[in-house]
Amino acid sequence: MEILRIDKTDRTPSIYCNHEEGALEMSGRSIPENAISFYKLLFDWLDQYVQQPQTETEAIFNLEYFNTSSSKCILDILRKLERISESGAKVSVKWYFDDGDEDMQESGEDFKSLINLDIELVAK
Amino acid sequence: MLNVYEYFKKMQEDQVILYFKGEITNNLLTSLLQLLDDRLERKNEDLKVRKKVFSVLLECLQNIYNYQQYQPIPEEEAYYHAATLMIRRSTDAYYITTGNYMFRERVPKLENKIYKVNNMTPDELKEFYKEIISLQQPSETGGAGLGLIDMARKSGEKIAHAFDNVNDTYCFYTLQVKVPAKPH
Repeated sequence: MEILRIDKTDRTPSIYCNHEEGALEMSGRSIPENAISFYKLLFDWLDQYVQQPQTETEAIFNLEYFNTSSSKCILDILRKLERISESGAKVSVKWYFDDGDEDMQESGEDFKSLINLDIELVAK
Repeated sequence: MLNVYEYFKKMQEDQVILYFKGEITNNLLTSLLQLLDDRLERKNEDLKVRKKVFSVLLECLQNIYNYQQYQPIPEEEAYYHAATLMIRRSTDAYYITTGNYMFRERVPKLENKIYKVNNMTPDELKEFYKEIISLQQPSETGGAGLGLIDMARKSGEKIAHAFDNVNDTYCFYTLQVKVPAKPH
């Protein structure tokens, strides 16, 4: 599988997906007005990855802000990761937030309560 | 000549830190957010408050923008494309206020949504938010109706709103969200 790499912009995060490393990472702001079209490439990559995942997958969410349009996409990404975990492979998720940013911490908790995955909330 | 000083004085009195009038376009949205972020950073505003104000402004503007995409006001009625944005800093809070024209027929549904959100406790808002993002289909406006819930959660206060009558077709919708901040 090809490595997916998207550079960050003022409104969209950087994305790095590497099948060999079992790595998925996004970092920056996710505030596009149409999140579904931005995340399309990542969804396509993940749909392929789900078919042939590594025994261990690590996903990193390191977001400064995200809008409500992105929140649904983030949940969809987590759902796809959940499917990998259900098939028996190990999936770990790290959700980073600025120390003291209660809203971002709470968002991580929201996702954690919706998804059956090991989501670790990490203050930075 | 227009008396600019009068306008300016009024805004000084009302502690306006950012004012905009015009059509909300995509590029403008990014610039306005950047401008606000710079201002708050220069004021050394608490990171938590900065992020809340930024998020609320973002959802307000994207709501206006998305609504215009979903139910466009016709080109020949460009007058009604204009919107306004005002951010004020009072002693203990920021106020993010937006105003835009909308079709009157949309008012009852929107008013219901605001009423519902304003009458929820923080825990109820949290559950409602989770319920909505879990739905498979996005709402008709594309924004999943999450914007208002998110604003209410970030603000922790009731959302103030008004619908001013313009004519048979349009009304003017004002929305104000308060973000508490440390006294300055």
